[in-house]
Amino acid sequence: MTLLHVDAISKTYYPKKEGLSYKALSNFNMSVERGEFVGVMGPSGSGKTTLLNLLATIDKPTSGTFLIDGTDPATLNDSQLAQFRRRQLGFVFQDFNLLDTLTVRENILLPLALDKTSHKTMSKRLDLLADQLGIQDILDKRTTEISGGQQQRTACARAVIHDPKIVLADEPTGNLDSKSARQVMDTMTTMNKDEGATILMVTHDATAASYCDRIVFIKDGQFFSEIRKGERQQTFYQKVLDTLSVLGGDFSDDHKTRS
Amino acid sequence: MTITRLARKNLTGHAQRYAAYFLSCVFAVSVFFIYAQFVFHPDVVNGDIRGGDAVRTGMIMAQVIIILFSIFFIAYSNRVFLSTRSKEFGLLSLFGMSKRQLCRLVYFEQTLISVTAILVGLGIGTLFSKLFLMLMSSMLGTESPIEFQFVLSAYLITALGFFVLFQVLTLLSFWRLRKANIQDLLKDARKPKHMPRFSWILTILGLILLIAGYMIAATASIMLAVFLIPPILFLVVTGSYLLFRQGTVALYKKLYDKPSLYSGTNLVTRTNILFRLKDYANMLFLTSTIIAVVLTAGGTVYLLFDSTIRMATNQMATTIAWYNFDEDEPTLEKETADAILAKHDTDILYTIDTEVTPIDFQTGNLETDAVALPESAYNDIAVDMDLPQLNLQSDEVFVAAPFVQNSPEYSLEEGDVINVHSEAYTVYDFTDRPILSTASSGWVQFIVPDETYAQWGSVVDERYQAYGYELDNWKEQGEVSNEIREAADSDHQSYFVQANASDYQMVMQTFSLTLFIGIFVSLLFFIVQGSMLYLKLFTELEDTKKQLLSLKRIGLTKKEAKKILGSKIRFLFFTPYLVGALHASFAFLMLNSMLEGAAGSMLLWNGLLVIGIGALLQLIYFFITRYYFVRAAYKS
Repeated sequence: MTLLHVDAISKTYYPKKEGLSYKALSNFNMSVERGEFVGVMGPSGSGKTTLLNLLATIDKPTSGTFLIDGTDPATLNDSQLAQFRRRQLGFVFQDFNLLDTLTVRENILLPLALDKTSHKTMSKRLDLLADQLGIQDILDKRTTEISGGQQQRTACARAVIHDPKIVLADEPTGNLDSKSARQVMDTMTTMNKDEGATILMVTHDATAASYCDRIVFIKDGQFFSEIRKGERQQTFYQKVLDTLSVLGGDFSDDHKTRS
Repeated sequence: MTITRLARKNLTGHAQRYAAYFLSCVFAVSVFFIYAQFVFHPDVVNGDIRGGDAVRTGMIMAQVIIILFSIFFIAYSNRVFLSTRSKEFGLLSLFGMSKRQLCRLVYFEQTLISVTAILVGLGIGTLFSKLFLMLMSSMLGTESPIEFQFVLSAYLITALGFFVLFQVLTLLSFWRLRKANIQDLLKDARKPKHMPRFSWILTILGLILLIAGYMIAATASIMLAVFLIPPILFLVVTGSYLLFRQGTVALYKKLYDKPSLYSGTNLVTRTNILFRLKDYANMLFLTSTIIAVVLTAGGTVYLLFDSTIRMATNQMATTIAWYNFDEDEPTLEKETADAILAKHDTDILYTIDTEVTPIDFQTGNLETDAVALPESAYNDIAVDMDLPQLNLQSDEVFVAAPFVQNSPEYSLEEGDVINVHSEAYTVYDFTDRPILSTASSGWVQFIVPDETYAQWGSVVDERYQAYGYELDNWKEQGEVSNEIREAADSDHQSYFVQANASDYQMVMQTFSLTLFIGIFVSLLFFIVQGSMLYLKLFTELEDTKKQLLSLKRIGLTKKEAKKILGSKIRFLFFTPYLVGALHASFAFLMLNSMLEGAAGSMLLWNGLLVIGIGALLQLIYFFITRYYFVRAAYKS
């Protein structure tokens, strides 16, 4: 069953004063099935982040529409959009996006607290999730006391605590060393397999991408190709690398410059 | 890019951060300058203005307060600015800026702000000087208004004084910069890292000190009040300092443990405040103290004048009253007074014209003189004055003496025995409402049976003639009262003629002048404490923006974001106000017991009025700050 349906969306940035307009996305189509773990890859400037911003309802498309579980965010006003983001979407960011005044527990519960969920539901849900994601030991720590990998796993827990329709992840391993990155990808896999969360992840990292069920490649704002995972992750990883080399663009460089 | 250019860029780029500080400085300079205009005005200096000297002294005192307060405020602001910019200084040092250059940068910035503030302050001061001088003229009742002039010395003293003040404080602030090393500077000290700790012992100690201070203040007796003020101040100030350092953390930790924490935006608002409480404590303590001082001073001035007016008017028998001690050399002829009253077409409610005799008497510790009035004459007057008729026994005396009651070392009560001419009499009753003029020996007035009066009179063989006029609408009768007073024979000094309205109008004039001068100083205090809060808030702007962005990304509505910002600003503005108002209330309570009865229930209203006006001002400042802060936080 299709959860996310993107229908020919385009995004053009017009400079405020003079200059050339820039087409970040043009006529882009894609769809994500319920329970799927989809990766989006492409060289820098290919429109990945634009796509994610549009789906995250932070930005509006110039043309085209998309539906998230039958809802068109374009029909909602600002306040409804905020509530839509809070209830229907889950986010994992490159910079973790945790509040440093809150403990790990409070950070995870924040989306539920904002919606004034009952205390009992909250703690039940948290216990289950913390157990699954293996973060029980750090629940009462502050974000400044834990490692980057732990922070990102906290952010993952926060992204799924309220059972969102879809989790949008923006370079979740971008700020992490390879060991932490693996742990975070394991966490995301758990979220996908055990929690049944639908995940759309934008990434540069071929290793991270190899955890996905399917990868969509974008180039110059347009669909380039798509590969599906077979039996083995290792062969999938190799296929990713092959496609990337066909795709061209500076992957390694821009991985470093991005922050 | 030169250092001066960088300094200018820093200021214009952070205009919002400096706005409140700048405006407070401008206001301080303007008020100081306006006072200086009056103080150094040639007409005032030459003594051409009646009552100008007293006002001048008052204004100089106000100026001293402004300077002292400015020193405190500027030093505080400099410290806040420097500490919030430590990261920036760290970066500049990292790029190879020397300490010397860093100091020069700060020096240029501060000098630029201060010189601009002085110039703008002088400009605004000049604009409002004329209005101020006009108001002063009308309050002092000068014949011709005090002319507006460009008083050079006022400009020089204000400009030079504030310039030196700013320069010295800037140079002193470098001391902080010198010792810091790059690594310390770069470390972001503002980030909350640990749950703030607090001690129950200190919290309870603070509470005990505060309550003890309040209890003493509330129960202080009039005799001890003066000696109790220093210990009360110590207890209250120490107590509230401890409570702000410790108690607020305890309170918020308590809130933190509540399940309601996880309801809506509470999670964010409460933790935001909790993790900055240690940081806020000093500032909240300072601002609450400033508020307490302003409110107490305002309320006290109001109250003191109120009771002075009451005391002055209650101690007067009638609107106009005097004695003619000697028939051949009268203080004031009754005919003269009648003529003046007729000329002004004044409505007279009743007149008193009766004979009294001076006596010496002794009771307990008190050995002094009084005037005696026969019962029959009193009963006639009592009809007009709406007092009870008397029918005294031969050994009884009715005492009317406003001053005796107010002198605690003496006392006269019903049943006391007094001795006159070696004979004992009993006090039948006592009233503090005088019947006749209280001048000279009239400060104690005896009403005795006619026989006693005749007996006493025969011993002394001296008679005074007592006169009194009660005028309709007496408060307005200042002009005619003054004229009657001036008509009194100069040998007999006009102060023997008691004129209620003249005294009343004089007290009112002093009151309005004090209020007028005091209002600007109070306003300055108020603005400065608001600016301190504003300053603190804007130093957190970057962190706030970051947090709002984080929250917005996971779906926080604008309404909720405003709620989060609003509740924090509300906490910062109204916590010190509530505490300050509480301090002031107990100060009023103490004052009430000191003034005992005289002020009575008026105290409550005066106190509430002052606290209410303050609350309104704070509310306005709160709205302005919230508007600008929310706007700044949303600007990306």
